Amino acid sequence: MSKWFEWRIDFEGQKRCEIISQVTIILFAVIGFAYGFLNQDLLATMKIYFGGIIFTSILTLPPWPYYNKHPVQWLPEISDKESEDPKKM
Amino acid sequence: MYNLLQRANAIFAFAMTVTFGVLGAIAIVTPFLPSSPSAEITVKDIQVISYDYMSQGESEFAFIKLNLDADLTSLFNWNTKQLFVSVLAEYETNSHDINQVILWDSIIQSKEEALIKVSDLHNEYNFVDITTSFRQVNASYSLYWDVMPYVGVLTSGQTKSNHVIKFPPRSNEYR
Repeated sequence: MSKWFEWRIDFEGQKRCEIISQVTIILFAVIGFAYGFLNQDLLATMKIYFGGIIFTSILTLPPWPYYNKHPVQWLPEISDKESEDPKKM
Repeated sequence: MYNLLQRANAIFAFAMTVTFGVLGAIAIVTPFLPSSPSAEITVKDIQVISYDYMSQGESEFAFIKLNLDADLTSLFNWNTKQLFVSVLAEYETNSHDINQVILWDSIIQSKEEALIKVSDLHNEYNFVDITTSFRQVNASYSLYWDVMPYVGVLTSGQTKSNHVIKFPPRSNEYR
């Protein structure tokens, strides 16, 4: 159960996730600030910005398939016979 | 960032930093917003009574009645939480250069309340001089305000009234 809820993403996905999260949060901050300043409404700024944070969480926290497009290439398994080789001891 | 907790932590920390950036930007931009507050104070009546308050000896108490007409709505921008407004009486005596006494104060929490019109303002607090007598001093009255922002530097302002009236001599009866 906990393994499923780990919500893993691969390394390439992490890169994409970081860029998306940073850009989106800053974008909502700038939009919120500009809108609030033009309308002289601080509450609007806060609403837009915190709405943006929630939106970013939806975009980045769940393991969307977009983040799992480049899975890690693990090395092939070593068969049992080789690991018992006395030379490697 | 490989699992949920890591991502949640990273995003939350970044969001916190950007939040401080937004609040800082709000604080920096606010002083550049224009404002044009105005106020007018006219004195209706001054009485000076001599009284022995709490057995401290005779001293002079002044009772002032004023008209206050003020428009402080332009002070309310997006970053204004509330205004603290007070009416000051300022005068100079032989012994003390600067005397300032607050006659009345009020907290204003919205733009609608910032249009102040009080036609029978009398001093809320006892108006006494630091010496025991006013000696018929000339006092000027002004409106003073503190602007309290949500984020940023506390600012204040004051307008002076042109109406300067001499205090009458002490009398023994309150009209």
